[in-house]
Amino acid sequence: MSLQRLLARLRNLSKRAQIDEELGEEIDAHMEMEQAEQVVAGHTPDRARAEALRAFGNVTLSREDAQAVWRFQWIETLWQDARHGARTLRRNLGFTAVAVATLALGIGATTSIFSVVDTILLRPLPYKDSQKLIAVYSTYPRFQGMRLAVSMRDWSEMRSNTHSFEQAAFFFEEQMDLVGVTEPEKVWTYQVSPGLFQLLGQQPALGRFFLPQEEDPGQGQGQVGVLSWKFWQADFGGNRGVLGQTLALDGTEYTIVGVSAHGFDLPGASGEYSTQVWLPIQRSTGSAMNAHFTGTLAGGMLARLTPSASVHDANVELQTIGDALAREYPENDKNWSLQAMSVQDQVVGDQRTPLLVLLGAVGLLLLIACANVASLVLSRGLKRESEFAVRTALGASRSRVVRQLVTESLVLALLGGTVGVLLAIGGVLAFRSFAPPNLPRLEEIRPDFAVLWMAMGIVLFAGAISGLAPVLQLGRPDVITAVKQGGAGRSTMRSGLRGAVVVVEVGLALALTIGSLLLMRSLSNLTNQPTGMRIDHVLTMNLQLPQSRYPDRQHGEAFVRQIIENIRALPGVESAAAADINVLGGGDNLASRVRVEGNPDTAQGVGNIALSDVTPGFFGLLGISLLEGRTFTQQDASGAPAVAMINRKMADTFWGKRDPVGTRVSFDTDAKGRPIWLTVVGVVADTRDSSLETPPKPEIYAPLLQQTVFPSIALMIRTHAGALAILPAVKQQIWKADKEGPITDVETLEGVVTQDVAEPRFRTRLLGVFAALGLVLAAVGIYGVVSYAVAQRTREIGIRIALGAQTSSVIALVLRYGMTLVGTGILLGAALALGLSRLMAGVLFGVGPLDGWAFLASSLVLASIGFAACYIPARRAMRVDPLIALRYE
Amino acid sequence: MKRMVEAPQRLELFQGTLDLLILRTLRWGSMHGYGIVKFIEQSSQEAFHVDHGSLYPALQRLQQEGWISAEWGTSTTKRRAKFYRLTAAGRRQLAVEQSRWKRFTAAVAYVLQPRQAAAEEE
Repeated sequence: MSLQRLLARLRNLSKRAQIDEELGEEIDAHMEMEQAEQVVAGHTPDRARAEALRAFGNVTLSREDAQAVWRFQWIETLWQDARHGARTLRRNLGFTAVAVATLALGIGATTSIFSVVDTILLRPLPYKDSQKLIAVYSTYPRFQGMRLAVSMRDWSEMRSNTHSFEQAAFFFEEQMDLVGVTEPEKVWTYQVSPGLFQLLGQQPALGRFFLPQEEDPGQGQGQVGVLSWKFWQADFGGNRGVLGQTLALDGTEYTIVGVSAHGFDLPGASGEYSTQVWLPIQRSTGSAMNAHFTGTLAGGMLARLTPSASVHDANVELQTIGDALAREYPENDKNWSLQAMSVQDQVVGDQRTPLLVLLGAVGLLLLIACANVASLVLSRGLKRESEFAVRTALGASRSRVVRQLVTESLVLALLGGTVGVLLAIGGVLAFRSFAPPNLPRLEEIRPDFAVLWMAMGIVLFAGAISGLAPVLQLGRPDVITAVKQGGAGRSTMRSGLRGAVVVVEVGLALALTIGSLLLMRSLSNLTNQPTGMRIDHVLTMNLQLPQSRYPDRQHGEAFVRQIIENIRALPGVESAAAADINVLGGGDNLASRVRVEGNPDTAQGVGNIALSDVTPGFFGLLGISLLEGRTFTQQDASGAPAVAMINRKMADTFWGKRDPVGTRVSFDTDAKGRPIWLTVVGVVADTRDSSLETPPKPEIYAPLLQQTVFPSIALMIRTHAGALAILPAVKQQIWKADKEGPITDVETLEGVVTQDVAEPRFRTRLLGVFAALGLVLAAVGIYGVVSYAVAQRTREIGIRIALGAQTSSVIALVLRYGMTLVGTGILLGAALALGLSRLMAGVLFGVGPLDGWAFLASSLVLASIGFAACYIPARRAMRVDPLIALRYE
Repeated sequence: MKRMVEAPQRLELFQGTLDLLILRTLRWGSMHGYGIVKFIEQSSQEAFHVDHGSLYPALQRLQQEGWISAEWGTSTTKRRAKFYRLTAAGRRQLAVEQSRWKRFTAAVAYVLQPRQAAAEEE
């Protein structure tokens, strides 16, 4: 288009109406002249008028063509179609509401779940070159499968001379008391090696990070700290003047030298564990820097793989380093090994399978939404066949009709998309507030707009294709027939297509429902899991007994005895006990070389046996029933004969029919490698004391007070009333015995169980919602297709009734049609679920992926919903008045 | 678009050709749309049928190019009608179009009947 013409068009835009009118007048004049000539030629005026019209042809079309020359025709057509589409949609409110809701659901649900999955599983962590970051951890045979911290000395040995990784950085967290800023509060501090920030590619938002010499304990200069962005905002109101101010943490003054960037934290630290203050590691090591201390002080270690190295290379090298360290420092490192994993894997943890299950579910939902939109649009399009035929007959070209339909789909998509966007944003926000807080990277989750467009595109595509189906088959020669038939005929051949869409929809919904029921069964198994313990009214907490203050058994033993006695004396306390490991804490201490006297199979020692060190009140407090012999007493202390108790599983496994009481068992050896024997004094019932999901293992209990070292103990207190109410008094007692005694992990056992099942519960609810939505959509789909079929066959039904068909047989006719579709869908869905549910095996507890009950129940649910959806149109068919039906055309 | 070619013996006009014929028609003075149609049909011995569906778009187009201009006038039947006249630019365009048309027909003639075409050339 030349510039001149473009300008002319733009000028004409303002004179649209005038030009339009002039064109009309001009054509009228033309017609009159033609007519006048026809009259001259001898025709009557009427005849002349007809002749003139015939000679001119399609007046409107030529007027439109002429307008097209100077208008921006496509925009006007688009606008016109959009308005027409909107009008049509407004007239069919039911259709519009369902289609928009379906579109919005598909788009919203898919986008929010995919945004979650993308953030947690796919998106690289927000660190420089994060794929090359590894986390190094220790393993120890007794704590199977657990990733333990690395000692500070191990880290310093790995700071140089490694080949597969470099820039090793070290950190550990500590909760400190802050006074002087706002109210006294506990803040999470991370003490880090200065190189950590460089390793993660961080720049401070304000000021600076730590200098290399600030880590060095010998320097003795002023202590420095860096605030996290969040803490800076919360406690200092983002005041830029904080640099140079001091911060009193645990009684030491720190000069604030910087603020870390917005959103920066260590991998995996989020929510309530967010870092508040960064400190150089100097402080904790300063005074106590000695071989023993650095050998046991443990924290996290991060490093960067060298460009050509893989995680596997790092693991090979770490094996060698670990062996060397064990030889050099046997007192700390014997039997310890080092391993590495990518930080990404560490952060994702065991969330992969559950998230993929959710993603799969939402994918099914999207497909159902597509099928639903397709079936809706298809039914509607067939109803409108005559409209298209008329348009074609009036001179609309096929591309013009197609364009109109596409525009209508776009209007629909725009509506659905808008609601969908809102739904997606709401969904993400809801996910963030309802998700269990231990989900990694929760705070990073944002609605992903790329996915949004994609989901919208998919649903739209399905809608547009189905909308076009009737037009693409609209052969020109048939126009007249189509007009005459008024849309009632011709469509039977495509009812197969709509039927197929419904079958697919039912199948997908069934698969979704089966998945949801499997999760529900699994959750109920988990929550109803008998633990073998009484967990109500029990408060637990961990007490640290640092070696600096409890260098030997006497000190530790005295402390434990004293606080248990003091706490038991508190009003409201029923009993108190201690163990070396948290009940339901998720882990076991495992003994690797257990020998049972009189059982030759154990002569070389057997492994994988749980080991708990407990105080005498332990079994009574948790209500673990004694089956044989006696429990521990206060007399089973250091100096007394070494004793042990076992659980029933242990007794059954290693003693068989023999009576264990009075025989001996060993789980450790002395310096010369000879077994240390303990006499079994009692047998107790099996418990699930490590976690709900872990079945009981053979277990040995030993008196805590006969064991040599206890760096920390788990304290348990059974109360008469609410467990948490007693906490302040308990803390007071502990601090009376040890005024620096750090208390961590304060929880009630019931709270632990609730947290344990929080994630499966959340997952189950989410999938339940998806399944419910899927069912609703499927019901709408069935209803739509069956109603349409009834409307199509009104005439046939009328004839049947006129010929004396019973209402029951009419209903049966409709139900047979609908239920055949539903039944086929159920078969298809069952087959689909057979394939898909296997992928869920990893998240199921106590129920197999091919659970017959879930399959059967879901099929029944779908069959009944399908029946209801068919029954309503069937009733309508029954009420068909034969007279009206026969006059229908 | 170009439909209703009812008499098979009549020839269909292509867009470019119609533009040329309109310009040529207006060379003798201003005329309204109906007159243009009649003139072309009669002067082509009824061989051409001017599709009205193409006429008015063509007139609009030529106007936009600035080759013709329009003003309201009164027809012989005392009817208000729009009269088109050739502009100076239109005159130049007509010359261009005419020579292009001659070259075009000559070329077609050569392809179809080389001998005869050469003879006529001389």
